[in-house]
Amino acid sequence: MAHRLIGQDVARVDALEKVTGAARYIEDLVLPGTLVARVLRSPKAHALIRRLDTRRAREVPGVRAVITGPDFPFHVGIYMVDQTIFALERVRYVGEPVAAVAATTAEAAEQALRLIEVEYEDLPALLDVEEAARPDAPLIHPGIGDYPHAGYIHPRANSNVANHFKVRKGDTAAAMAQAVHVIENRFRVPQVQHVPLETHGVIARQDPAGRITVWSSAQSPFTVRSLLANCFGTKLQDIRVIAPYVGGGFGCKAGINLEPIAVALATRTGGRPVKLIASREEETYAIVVRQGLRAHIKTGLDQSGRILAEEIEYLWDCGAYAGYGVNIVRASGYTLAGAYDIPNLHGDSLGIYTNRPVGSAYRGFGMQEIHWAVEQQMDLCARAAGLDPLQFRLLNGWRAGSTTTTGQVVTAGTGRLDLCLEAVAAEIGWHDPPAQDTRPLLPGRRRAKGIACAVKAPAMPNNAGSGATIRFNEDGTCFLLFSGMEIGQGVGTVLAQIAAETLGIGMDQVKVMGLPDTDYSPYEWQTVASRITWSDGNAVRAAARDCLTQIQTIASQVFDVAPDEIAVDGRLVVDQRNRKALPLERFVHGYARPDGTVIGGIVSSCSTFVPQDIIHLDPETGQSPKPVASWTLGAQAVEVEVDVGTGELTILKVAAAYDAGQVINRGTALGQLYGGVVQGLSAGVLEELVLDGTGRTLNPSLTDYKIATVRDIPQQTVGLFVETPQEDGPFGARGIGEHTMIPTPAAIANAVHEATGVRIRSLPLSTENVFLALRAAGVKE
Amino acid sequence: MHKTITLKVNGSLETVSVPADRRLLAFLREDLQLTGVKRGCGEGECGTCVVLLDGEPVNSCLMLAVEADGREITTVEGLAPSGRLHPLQEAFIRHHGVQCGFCTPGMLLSATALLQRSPHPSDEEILTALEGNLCRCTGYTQILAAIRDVADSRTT
Amino acid sequence: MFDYLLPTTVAEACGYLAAHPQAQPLLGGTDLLVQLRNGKRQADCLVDLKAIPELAGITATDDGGVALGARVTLNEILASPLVAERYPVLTDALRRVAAYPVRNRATLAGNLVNASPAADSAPPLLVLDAAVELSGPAGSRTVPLAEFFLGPGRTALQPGEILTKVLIPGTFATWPGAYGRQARRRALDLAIVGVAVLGGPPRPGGPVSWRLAACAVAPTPVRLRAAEAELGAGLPDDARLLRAAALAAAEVHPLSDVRSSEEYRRAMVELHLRRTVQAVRQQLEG
Repeated sequence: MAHRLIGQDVARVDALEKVTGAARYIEDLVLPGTLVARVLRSPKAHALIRRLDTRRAREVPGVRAVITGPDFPFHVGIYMVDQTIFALERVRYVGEPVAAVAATTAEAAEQALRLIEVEYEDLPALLDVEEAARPDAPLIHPGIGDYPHAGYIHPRANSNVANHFKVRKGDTAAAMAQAVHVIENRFRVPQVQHVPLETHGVIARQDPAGRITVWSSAQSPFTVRSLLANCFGTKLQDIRVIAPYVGGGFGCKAGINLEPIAVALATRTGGRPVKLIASREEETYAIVVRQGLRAHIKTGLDQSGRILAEEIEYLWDCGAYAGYGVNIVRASGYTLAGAYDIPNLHGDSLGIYTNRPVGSAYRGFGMQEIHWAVEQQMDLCARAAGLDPLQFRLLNGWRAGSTTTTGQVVTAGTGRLDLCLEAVAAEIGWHDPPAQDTRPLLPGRRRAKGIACAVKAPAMPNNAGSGATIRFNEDGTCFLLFSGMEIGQGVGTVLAQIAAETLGIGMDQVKVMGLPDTDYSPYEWQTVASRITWSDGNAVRAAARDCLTQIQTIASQVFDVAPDEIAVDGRLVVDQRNRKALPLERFVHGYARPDGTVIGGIVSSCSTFVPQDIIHLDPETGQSPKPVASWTLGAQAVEVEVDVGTGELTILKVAAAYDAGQVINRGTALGQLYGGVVQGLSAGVLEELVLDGTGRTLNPSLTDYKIATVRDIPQQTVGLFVETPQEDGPFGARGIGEHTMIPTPAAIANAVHEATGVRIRSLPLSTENVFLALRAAGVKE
Repeated sequence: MHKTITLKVNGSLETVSVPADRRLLAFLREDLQLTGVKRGCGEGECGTCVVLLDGEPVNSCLMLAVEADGREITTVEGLAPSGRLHPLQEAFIRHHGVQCGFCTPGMLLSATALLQRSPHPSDEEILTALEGNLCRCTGYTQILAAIRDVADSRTT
Repeated sequence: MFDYLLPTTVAEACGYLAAHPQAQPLLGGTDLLVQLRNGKRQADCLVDLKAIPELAGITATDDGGVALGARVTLNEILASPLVAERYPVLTDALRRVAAYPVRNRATLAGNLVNASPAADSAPPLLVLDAAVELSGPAGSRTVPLAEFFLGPGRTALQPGEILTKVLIPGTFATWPGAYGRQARRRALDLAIVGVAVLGGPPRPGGPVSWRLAACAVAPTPVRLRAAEAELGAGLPDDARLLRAAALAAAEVHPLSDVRSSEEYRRAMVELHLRRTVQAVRQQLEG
């Protein structure tokens, strides 16, 4: 069936506010009487707090509250409750909150911070994940064995292992013994930063009855509410969270970060609001970062190049606290081998505590990191088998009948990796020599192409749910309410399209009421995992269908036809049998008959979507016939020019294809794709959080933490969509938001290898790192 | 250590007393409530706080408010004074050059100044104009398309 | 917290600075305000030099050179046909400093006074034999740029003295030149290495001499004397050029820091010296 709005390039509903500067973000909100908060952070990576004295700080004029760990010894942690609002007795990373101040001015707050006296006793700092993983390593969390945690997280007592996810599929040892080719490699990914252009911020206020209101730059206001309630021991109804526009999240604004600090202060200020906005430096190392990874992969192939068996160990650097990181350990466990059909798998994904900045969710939730390893390993395997990398992927990649890492059977509806691979290969001219026509090659430059696949599923609790409300107004327009956060992806626009398409009305009749207030908005678990178009989309579609049914029921009585003969067409309700129509507005607030009686009521619906069929993974084998809601598959091919003299890479072209199921909005889908490719390439060639030997971050600001500028992007990016409908997706849609950045670094590394013969196994492919690798291999101009 | 300054902001003349050490960014955001000016880094490395100073883009975090005495400042709020959108604003909407929106005000102002000084810019001129404005969401592609569209559709 | 003063004459400015030992002169502020924000520099007063008329303007000098007032911004220099015609090596370097909006405020004088070892403006001015005019309570003096830099953040400026003009002599006007630069990123980044190359005079078949300087490879921007000596007179062949580049890499004293290792800096001096001389050689060959 042809759609009116689905798949079209519909203008964003939030764009007008954003191009005029009217859109309000957390720092733009001003409440009367607001106090400024500042946080004292640990200068030590690992130490005991021997003395903490705030007396002098309290005497600074303008200071209204000074609080420390013992004042609020409350625990937080989304998957493992291993953290307190402020360090208690022990600090575990440079940047950990130790105390906080609220004052009438920033100057007073900063003056007070300087007067807080802290004495530390140094402990050995574990800054290397392999060192921290050793059985005899000092314990970063001596209490690890007693921490409450989610049932599917498996910490190891008396160790630094925060989570251990196991995959045991088939008989890997036996199969490996049969292999004709055995390929073994190690790969590394450093910690990186999300760099949202808006730093984290929060405002908290307590009313006289004790009820807390929080305004936060949050991706997940309902989860902020539940984690705050857990932390402070209150009922959910005693906390209200309001989320304005978010200036980029990418995972770092999921969960709670600064909120407990602001709330704790706000309970001590006599009702005055407390505003806490992170500096860029705090943002860079003191809140959350992406985890580092060490990967070890051993692959066994048969004579024909089919993968028989694979052994994988992922060692994740969780940093000082488990945060979201332990669930990334799990997600990378059940996606262990990427999008490849491997009958025998032995895998261990381990999350290790270190004294580094805290690892957390970052667009892709571990997938870019493991694909850095897996997709280079596949190229190395192809070479060993004498196969072209594209051919090797088509031979071993998922297709209907394949089994995933967890033993789930891939079906035609899962999505089509092969079509994505073929699409990018055609677009990049995979079998043609590198293009020389656009720009002749200068001395010392080499060009080549590389390819990589991507796969990811939403990582979420099995019952992660979404709500949506549609309320019709008297004039035939409606309000659409939901709590998927607008973090840049265009959620309001695609949900309005889904509502309008389903109802048969125009975009101008749907007013999007996003930007949630947990007191009034429908529930949403979190805006993460590329799940909003799919999950919120299903809730919106259900609400729209419900409203349509109400209209049809009323109209069937008015026109005296069957409900299914009634259609809505913009501002008209149409009796399709008799070709009669009446204005929609007459049906949406009770249809008034000529005699004064009324049919029906106010058309409205409050609907939800909760996946029903996800089955837990076996804790010993990591197997499940349906461990996740859906998979999204894709591929990228790149053409890269390497300047052998400097090590600088020029990305000439990226072709990216994703099986989106059904594109809802072509413009925003391409926006996700272009943005993901550049964020992927930025992590690929520029980014690394650099720590010195004491755990201090050496590049804490944008002067030395570099992300891609407009001059660093590919010279050409072509976005392609395959559309194999997702059975349980709205109009067949599935998520693509994170997937767009997953394969880019690996595809670039594969191209660099093709161009130079040098395999670079550690990110980033910075000019210096590429140069030094080429020099070490004896490659010269 | 307050100074009295007179400046034109988005077409309106303002005479105000400001602390000598107040950054233009804080002055515009906090004193004039022009919150379309965004704080991203505080050290000229991201471009979210770009405003026009006598028509040319500058980082308002790298300027004192007193330095704007006698000058004319344009923020994103001043791009559509009569409510009628600037062609670049329309193009950013049409081409999806907006995602989270945090870089958008600075991007628009840098692009506006570019088309003022060079109505038909080369690709290189466009890159130069935008090289100080970071965007973490869009990958820049649709922003470039929006600017190119406006430049190419100009008749003069 | 600091005060702000806006003198309108050099004498007034120098008087303020002499009277306030904790005062700092303010030009574009693009380095100074960041340093104040980060606590890397303290000041109780900023003396803004931008209202002093005599510090404005780019003017041709009698000797065929150019004088650049301290207030002149980098974008003003980049827009100057006079500078582009006479000193292409300078424009080639300045267009890569920071980013366009920063260059609308940043000044050449400020870049020099900041005395960063990585100052992109310094290598081209060194090869052009530029001098700086310094004015203070005791009057004016002219100091060759080569003697102006004393170390990271340290210059020959005496208390109460300000840099009023950058003077580029006519000696090397219109000589072909280019700036080779390595950074981590393609825009808005500090130089890991910058190499200025000047070759001339531009007369077909005539004798040619070479002048080379680099930044970010020593405590101050430096001339590359050993490499210059190896290039000698005339158009070097590739073998000689390779030897000169190797000498340049050997004569610098780079550090390892978060931006680059010493090894990479040395390699990039060698590489950019070679490529930049090649580019200038090509221009000289016409």
